[in-house]
Amino acid sequence: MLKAEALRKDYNGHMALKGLDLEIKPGEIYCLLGANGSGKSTTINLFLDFIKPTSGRALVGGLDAKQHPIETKRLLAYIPEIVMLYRNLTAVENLRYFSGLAGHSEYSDADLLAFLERAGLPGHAPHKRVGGYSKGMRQKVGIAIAVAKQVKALLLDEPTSGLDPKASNEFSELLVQLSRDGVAILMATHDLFRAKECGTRVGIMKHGVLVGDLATQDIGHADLEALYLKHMHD
Amino acid sequence: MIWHVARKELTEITRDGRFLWSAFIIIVLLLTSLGVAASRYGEDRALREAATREVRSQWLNQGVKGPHSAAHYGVYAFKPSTPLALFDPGLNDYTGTVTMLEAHKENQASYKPAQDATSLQRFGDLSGAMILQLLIPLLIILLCFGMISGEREEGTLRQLLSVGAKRSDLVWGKAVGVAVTLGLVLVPSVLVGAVLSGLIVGESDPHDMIDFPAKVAVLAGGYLAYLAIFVVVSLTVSIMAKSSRTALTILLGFWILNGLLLPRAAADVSRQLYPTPSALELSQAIRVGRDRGPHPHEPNHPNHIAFREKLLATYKVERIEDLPYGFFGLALEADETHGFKVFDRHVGELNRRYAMQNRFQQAIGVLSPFIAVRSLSSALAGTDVDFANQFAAAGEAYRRNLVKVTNDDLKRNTVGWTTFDAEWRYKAGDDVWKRVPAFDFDAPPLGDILARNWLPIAVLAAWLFGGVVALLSVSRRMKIDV
Repeated sequence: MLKAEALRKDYNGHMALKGLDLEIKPGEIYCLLGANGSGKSTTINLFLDFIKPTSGRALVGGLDAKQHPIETKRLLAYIPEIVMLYRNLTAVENLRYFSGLAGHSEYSDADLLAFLERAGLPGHAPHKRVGGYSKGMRQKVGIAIAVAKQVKALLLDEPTSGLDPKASNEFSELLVQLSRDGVAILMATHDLFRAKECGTRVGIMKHGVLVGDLATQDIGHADLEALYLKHMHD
Repeated sequence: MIWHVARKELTEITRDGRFLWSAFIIIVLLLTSLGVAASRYGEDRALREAATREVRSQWLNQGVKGPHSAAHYGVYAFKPSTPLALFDPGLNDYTGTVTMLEAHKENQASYKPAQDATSLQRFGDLSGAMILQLLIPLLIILLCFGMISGEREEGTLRQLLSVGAKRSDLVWGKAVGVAVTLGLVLVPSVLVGAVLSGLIVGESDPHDMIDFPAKVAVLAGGYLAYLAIFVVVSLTVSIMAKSSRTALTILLGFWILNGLLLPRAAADVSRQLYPTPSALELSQAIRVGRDRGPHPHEPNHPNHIAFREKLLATYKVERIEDLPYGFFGLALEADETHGFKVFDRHVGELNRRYAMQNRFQQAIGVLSPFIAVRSLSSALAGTDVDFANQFAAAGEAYRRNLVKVTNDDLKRNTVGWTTFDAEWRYKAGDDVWKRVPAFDFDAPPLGDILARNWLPIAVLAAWLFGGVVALLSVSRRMKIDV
């Protein structure tokens, strides 16, 4: 569903990404680990067509993100470190706005409430303005936006950093549910524990190169940490 | 999709207390200024109509008297005023609205409130036009400056584009959202203000209502274009600026340049380029010129004597009593004819300079849509320089006919009279007074106004077109992150 083919990104002589090859199939949760500046966010921005690749291709559902920016975005959703919403609008209004822009203007209020409920937003919250929401609640609205869009792929950029362990756990469970529905998930994260818990595969990036790529079931938590630190020290 | 964005903007704007307060203040100002102006207009019109009737009746019923005394007594002409003048008083405070028409003199219009005011008067009364020309653009700037830059800073722009929203849909949706918001504020208050003014003013003379609906339509179109320019310029700057603060600074700079600095500079520079004499210099120049005339009232003045000798020689007679026309009438006629030339030269030059100043200011309007919309608006309201000059020209034409009628009467009916007798003993009656028609001068029809104001219309159209093109082009290259 998500596929990077020899993907390179060059910022004025600085190689942010040095030829990445990666494929994430429906139902997979791929966790990208790595220090800040290792190329994780660059990879996600290339799939979103927010930046143009120097060479190679970022494919979403077989379509090149650069050639088909609108069509590929129909297939995916993006959840950043903090989901940014309109503080003067309620969760329902935010969801209606983003869904409408994504081409789903058909949802009734009941549909929108159901999406928010499925994303785990507490029952009293949807009609309150999001200005007063906690980060965890914002991330849940972000999931609801993805669910309402009926996406095939999800791109997450450190979505759980700063969440308390309970909120982080709830968030991971939502990701697992989505992957069971066949969504391909790419998540950049610093949270090794969360990666081992909910990820199906883990990749370690360093200086724009994917230096490790393994299935989480093949490795224990302690081993993953050791492997990660070993790569970082090299 | 554009409507979807527009609806969300509308919801957000109307939930913002700052917007609600500023809209409320503007509505109150608009209604107050229209109401006050309407009652002032109604009073002025009643005075003007009463005075016009009074002046005419005094002229017709002045009884038996010397025709030249009647010409000295003169009449007053009142500049007509359409009800649109209550919305845009334009230059009326500077040009004056009443002219005394009398023998020997071409008077400038008087009753200029600006004469009694300080230079602060240049900022003008808070008219409906001023609110639309300066305050609403400020409201637009405050609504629009952060529309894109703010979403970029908040990170919502990234979120919006990640769901597949098209950049152009976002931008035009925002433009439509602002337009609908302003429409919700302005359309009802302008309608209420118009109905209110209509009720206060009451029914107008048909002479003041020439092409009235069409003028209102063009006026509305002009202001729509002007306000739309501010929407597209503000959004363009909001897209291009590095931050919302920069955008606000740039836009406020544009607002000050457009509405305060350029108009002021244009006025000052135009006066430097095309200086006009002071009232004193003008009257001195005219006195010097007129002094070369035949001095009909002074039989011993060398010019008078020379004129008389030349006339006697031309008709080959010895005494003025033997001339085929009344000598006093001929002398007055020659004096007026000489005076017309003097006035044509000096007042004509003055008006030419005013017209040049006006053209120069209109040309500066290329840089300032404010100047353009102000020209168009005051022209449609009949309160611009062109119309004031037309009024002055019509008054002068009327005056020339008046002195011609009275002098012709003297020429015909004082044949064989001495100058003293013609001046002091001869009396004319109602039949002469009736030969001078009532002063009849109307505000210009729409066609004339449009023909004179193609430049401001073109400037507004060009700014709007340029603004839309700029917005289209920058929205395609919109940056996502700060």
